[in-house]
Order: sequence, then C-alpha cells, then structure tokens
Amino acid sequence: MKNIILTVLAISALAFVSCKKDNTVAKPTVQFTEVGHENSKQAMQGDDMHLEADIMAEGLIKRIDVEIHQEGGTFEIEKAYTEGKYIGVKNVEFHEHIDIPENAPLGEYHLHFTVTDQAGQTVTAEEHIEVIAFDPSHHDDDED
Amino acid sequence: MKTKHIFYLLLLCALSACNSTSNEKDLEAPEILAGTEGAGPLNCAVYHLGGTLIFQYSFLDNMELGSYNLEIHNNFDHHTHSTEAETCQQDPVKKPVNPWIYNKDFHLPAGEKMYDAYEEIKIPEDVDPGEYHFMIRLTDASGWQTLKSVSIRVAE
Repeated sequence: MKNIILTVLAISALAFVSCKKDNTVAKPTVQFTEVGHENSKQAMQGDDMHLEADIMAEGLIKRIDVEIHQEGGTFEIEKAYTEGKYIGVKNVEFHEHIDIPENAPLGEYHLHFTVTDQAGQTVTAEEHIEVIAFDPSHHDDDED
Repeated sequence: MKTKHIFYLLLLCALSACNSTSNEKDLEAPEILAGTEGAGPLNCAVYHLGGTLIFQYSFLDNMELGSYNLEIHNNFDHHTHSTEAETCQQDPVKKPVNPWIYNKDFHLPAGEKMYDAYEEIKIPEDVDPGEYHFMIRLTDASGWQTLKSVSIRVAE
C-alpha cells in the first residue's frame, strides 16, 4: 500500500514538473522604416508626418504609443493606438500620418514609439526629428 | 497485478499531461487574393466624389481567418509603401484641406479558412479629390497580418 502511495506521489510530481509552462514569449521589436517624408526625419508645421515602422510581437500587440516632444520646450504630440488594425496582431507594418499642428514651435523634437504586448512587455524606439516651416517643394523635387 | 495497472495508467497520464496544451503552431500569414471576377479596388482605379467604391477580395488562410481592416488615407504627397505595386498618374503635390479618411474593422466568421469579402464604401462628396492609398490589412486567428496597399484616385 505504501508503495502505491509513493508511486502515485512520484508520478504526480513528474506530471507537474513536465507541465511547467514555457513563459518565454519574445519581447516585441520595432524598426523604423520611415520617419518624415522619405525618411527625412523632418516634419512640417500644419502638415502630417509619415511614420512607418515594422513591428514584430510574438505575444500580440496590446497598444502602441507615439509621443513627440519638443527638446527644451513643453510642446507635445501624443497618440495612442489601443484598438483597431494593429491590436491583437503579431506582425505589423505601422503606417500613420501624424498631424503636426500649425502652432508647433520650429526646432528639435524627440520621437518615442512604444509597443506593448499582451504579456505587458514593452519596447521603445526613439528618433530625433526637426519641425520645419511648411514648404510644398519639400515633398517632391519635381514640383515648384 | 492491480498495482501494475494503476502504475501504467498514472504514467500514461503524466506523459500525456502536456500534449493538450501544445497546439499546432501557425507560422503562415493569410493571403489577400484578387482571384474573383470584379475584384477591387485595383491599382490606379478611378472613383468619383459622391460615388461608391466596391471592395471585393478573397481571403485565404492555412488555419483560420480572424479579421480585416480597410483604411484609406491621402497620397497628396506621393509617399510610398513597400507593398505597393506601381505608381499611377500623379498630380502636383498639395496640402490636404479636407482629405478623405476611412478606417473600419471587420470581423470574419470563426473557423473559416476562406472568405469572399464584399463591402460598399460610400465616397463623401465634400472631401479633397486626388490620390489616395487604399490599405487592406488581413489578420488570421493567431495574429499574423498581411498588408496590401492599392493606389486609387478620387476624381471630381
């Protein structure tokens, strides 16, 4: 009888050990593919700034936060994506036109791009950008 | 004899305990196919303000489809997408005043590997005419996404 109990205990232990869940979901990764028109790292007042990035999140994307803040100033642009086309997705080509207000002061800014997966893991990519005055010729060299 | 039976039974339980959780892993993204007749929008298609854009594509996945999203944004500045097939006729660059913005999620029925999507999208009358990008994002049940970007024109 004692033997049976011991055997039961030993095998139950084995069952538990062998079932330890593998919690190693890789952290999300982000790679900018375009920041500003043709990756110029520039944005124009009163225009929209292209932001494109490749995201890979094995644990599925929960949210994406974009924050652009002025260096040495208080001006900030914030955008959060918490529902819709990017959420619950593993691999995303993020593409958005971020509106830069007319009253955004000219000068240097920092862009922070944070991806959070459903396990709560985050990754942040950063880029330096410059806000310049609106100039249509900046968009396309063929035009006046 | 009885003890032996119990022993084997338990051993079997212990060994099989983890099998139920290890689902077959999905490694393939879904596909967006223009196979059906009348598929659209196709690259460089022209639509009109106040008109209707018919969206019609077929979706395919190796395991199970999930959802899709349609999004339209202006291309007044001639930007590019890596998934884009070609450049169409280009207007001079212009600044958006009241660009057409469309962004909608659609859920697909559970358990489907194939689906023929069809939607009628009304084009507002008061938006800026010009070049637009039509983005189709198809996601399967395990989260793999495929993006197809089509260049269209909205004429007056």
